[in-house]
Amino acid sequence: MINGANSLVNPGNAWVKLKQGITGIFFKGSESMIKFFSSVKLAVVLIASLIIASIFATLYPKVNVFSSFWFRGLLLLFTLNLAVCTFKRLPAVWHKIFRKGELTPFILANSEYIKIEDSSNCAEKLLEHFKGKGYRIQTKEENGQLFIQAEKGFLNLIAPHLLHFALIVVLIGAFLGSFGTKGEVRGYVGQTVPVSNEPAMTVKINDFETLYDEDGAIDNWVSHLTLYVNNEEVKTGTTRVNHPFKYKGTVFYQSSYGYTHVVELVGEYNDTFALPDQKVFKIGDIPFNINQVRDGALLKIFRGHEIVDSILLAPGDKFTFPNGTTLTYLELIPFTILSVKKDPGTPVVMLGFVLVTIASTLFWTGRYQEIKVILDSGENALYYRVNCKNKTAVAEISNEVIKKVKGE
Amino acid sequence: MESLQTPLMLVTLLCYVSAFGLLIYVFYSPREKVRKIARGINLLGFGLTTLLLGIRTVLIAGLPLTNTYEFGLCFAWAISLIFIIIDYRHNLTAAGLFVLPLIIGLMAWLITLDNSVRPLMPALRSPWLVIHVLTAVIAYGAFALSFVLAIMYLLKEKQNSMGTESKWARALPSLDLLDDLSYKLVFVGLPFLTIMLVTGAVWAEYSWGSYWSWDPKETWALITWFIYSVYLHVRFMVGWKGKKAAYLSILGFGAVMFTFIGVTYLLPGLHSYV
Ligand code: HEM
Repeated sequence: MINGANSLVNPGNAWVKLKQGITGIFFKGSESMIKFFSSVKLAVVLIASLIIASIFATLYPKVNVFSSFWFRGLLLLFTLNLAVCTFKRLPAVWHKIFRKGELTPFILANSEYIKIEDSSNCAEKLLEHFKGKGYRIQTKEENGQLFIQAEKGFLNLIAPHLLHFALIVVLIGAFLGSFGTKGEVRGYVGQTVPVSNEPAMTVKINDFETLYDEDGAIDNWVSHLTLYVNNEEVKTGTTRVNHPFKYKGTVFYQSSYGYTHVVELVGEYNDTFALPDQKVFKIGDIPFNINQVRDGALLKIFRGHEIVDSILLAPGDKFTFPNGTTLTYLELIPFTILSVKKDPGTPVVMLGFVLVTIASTLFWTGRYQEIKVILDSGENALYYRVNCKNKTAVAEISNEVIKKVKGE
Repeated sequence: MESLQTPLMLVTLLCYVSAFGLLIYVFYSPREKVRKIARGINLLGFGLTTLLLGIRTVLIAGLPLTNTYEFGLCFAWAISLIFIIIDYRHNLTAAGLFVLPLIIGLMAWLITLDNSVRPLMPALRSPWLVIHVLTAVIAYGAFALSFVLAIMYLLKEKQNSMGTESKWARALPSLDLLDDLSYKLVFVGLPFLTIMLVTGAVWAEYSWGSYWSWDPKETWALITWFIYSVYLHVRFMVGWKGKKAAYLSILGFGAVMFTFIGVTYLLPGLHSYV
């Protein structure tokens, strides 16, 4: 706390440090900044902060946490952390996977030790065993010692790094998303309307329909559109839930819809009216509404909240109210509301998602295993060590090695 | 067939409750025979849960992954399945003392939910739903068992540190095994949770035009994911094992349950259907 207060009072100090860090990144490399950002402890602190901020945000939805400056700052730090972490470790992983040729002799301090009888036979048996199990083998002979290194599970070695890289891609995509625009298209069937966030675009709404499945439940809502750019027709198609209409990075989503019923009233009023679907009106003191259902327009007459009469109307049908007013149903005009998005980051995010998924599946390919063996023909001894994050596997592999060496 | 569901659920619940009762009995007076019977009845409960899911599949003519009731049933099924696998591999019937209350609680709650068949709203009619929810079921099942093993770890650890040779200490397996299994389940679960988040986002992009909206359910799923990723990092890079790892696993599962149930009932959001 006191540290934080200090840097607030004296921002110069922090600034100098930051500048040094940035210069470090661009010039000498491996400076304190990189060290700072490559720490897993920092990652844990940042993730913990993101968790606390997110919990706070869901408890107090009125506070704009996710679009706030400090939350984005946290995300930026997190991205830097991930990036430094990933790229710093990449060369070592690269080397491990692609190293070729001879092995450099190694030391196995405090390793397991087995006494053997015939070291030449033993080496053969071991190598054959490793080969049979699909290990990549490298060997080196020096001063009467045979060094063996057997490895497998390289995909698993790549997995965390690919995952981290993929997360960076997603975060970059999300950042690009802040340069995108959102808008809306709303209009009646037959109208040509502007696209609110794309001044050059207009959309003609050719039709709107509700699709039903064989059980009579609503399957989808479809708007049939023709898109114009600078008054020139560029594309005709449909947008429906889960299948948006796309044109060069601008995507149109079916977001809402509705109906307007055109009726003529003769009697109490003498005019043509456009009545919104389901909205209740009164003729005399009798409330009614019109509701578009699958089979047509349903006129409902109420007493209080009770429906006392309901009549299915087709264009041309008439209904006479008790006070003598006649309603003639003229026409149904559907309208549709589309949300429009243009986001240059979305393809990047989607690419990141694909990589995230690939990386995640790589975790199931079996843990990376590395077995190091030194066969000392002078001492007739075998030293070995198994490295693997899976403890059970370490025990199993060790047992196999012992079994092989001791001739089953 | 629709009306068959509730009675069948009651019978299933009865199975789990009696398996639990028998395990308590075994805990107080260890008898191999009774333990085997408890195991058998638990297996029957699992079979009935499978049957329920089968019936549901026929009823809705699709995989039963489309609402809270169906998801809850799959969740209970997954917990039950992973428990059975671990039990047969490591002879860990004692874990049932902690797994079964979880399954029983879940089942009892599911019985109170509406299980009539309703048409799916258009946004849910998507192949992404299946991958999204299926990966969630697997991840949540794995985390549930990791949670149970973490609790067992803490209990055993407490007994050990007090130096008493109590019933608990004898009934529970070694600390190493509990810790290792609990970790492995997190390691299995996290990639599934990751794919769940990704497929959910892709689906949201197709249906709402926004791959991420920070709605409470999404946010809590992300919090869960963060917690388990911290778990893996501190385990290998900071060396948090045993007790600290157990606390993190418990915290993670708390987030899982809050995402699944808490968000729906305690916070307002988009995901009102699952
Ligand atoms: C929420 C975001 C993150 C996720 C989901 C994630 C996921 C993972 C996973 C699954 C592993 C593999 C663990 C294992 O092998 O058991 C891993 C390893 C690792 N992570 Fe992360 N990570 C995240 C963020 C970070 C950050 C910000 C850093 C930067 C310090 C970092 C540094 C590392 C390192 C150094 C390893 C070890 C890699 C190795 O095996 O050589 N991670 N991460």
